Amino acid sequence: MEVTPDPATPTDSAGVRQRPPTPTWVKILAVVGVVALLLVIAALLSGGEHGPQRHSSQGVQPAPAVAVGAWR
Amino acid sequence: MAVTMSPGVRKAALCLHITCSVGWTGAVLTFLGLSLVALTTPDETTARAMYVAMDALAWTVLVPLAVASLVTGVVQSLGTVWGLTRHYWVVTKLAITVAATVVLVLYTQTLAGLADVAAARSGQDAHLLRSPSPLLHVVLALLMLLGATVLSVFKPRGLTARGWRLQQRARSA
Repeated sequence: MEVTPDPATPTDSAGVRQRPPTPTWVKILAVVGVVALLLVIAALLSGGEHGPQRHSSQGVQPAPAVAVGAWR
Repeated sequence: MAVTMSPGVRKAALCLHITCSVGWTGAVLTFLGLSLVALTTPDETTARAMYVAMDALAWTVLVPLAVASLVTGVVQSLGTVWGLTRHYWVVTKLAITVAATVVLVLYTQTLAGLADVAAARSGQDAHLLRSPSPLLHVVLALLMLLGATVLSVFKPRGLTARGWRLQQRARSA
């Protein structure tokens, strides 16, 4: 059975179907994702000022006296 | 891998996925309210209570719903014609959900530290209780979840390389 070419699918000169190009919205989101990832990596590499350790800086240790975090 | 689900099972799985995802978004909005109060209230006792509440909310509601949303989403995609890696919108939504869940789980450590500081009632670390960190993270989380919701509703066109190959194979068969 002959397969009828899909008019929405690009074909080359030999009539072979070509894969449609990547949609623009995918390219934009990919760039946004890479930029966000680079920003996170930069924040992590810039002296480790991102993350839980920043909240226990200055050598202050929270007192464990209060019963908090029973769900942990 | 594609598993065909019966219409009844598919609807039930979809209901579960929507419930988990909407619940996750609702919990994030609740967290947003708590973080706003923590940052703006003039009362230090209230601010301390907000950090303890945010920590509890993260462990008891946010993390379970995030994991449930991820698992039910994967099941939903594998059990329908959409597949997991055939359409860009599904892959993108999966990436958003995985990223949001990983960041959330990692951030629970920060929240635990803040809750400990809040519960310690020590004046030395009181400045940490005005941290904009929870608000910043929850706003980013909300944007990611809204993005995932938009993708689910609009389902923008676009086949991945694998999806295109599978489509061509099906047409040739």
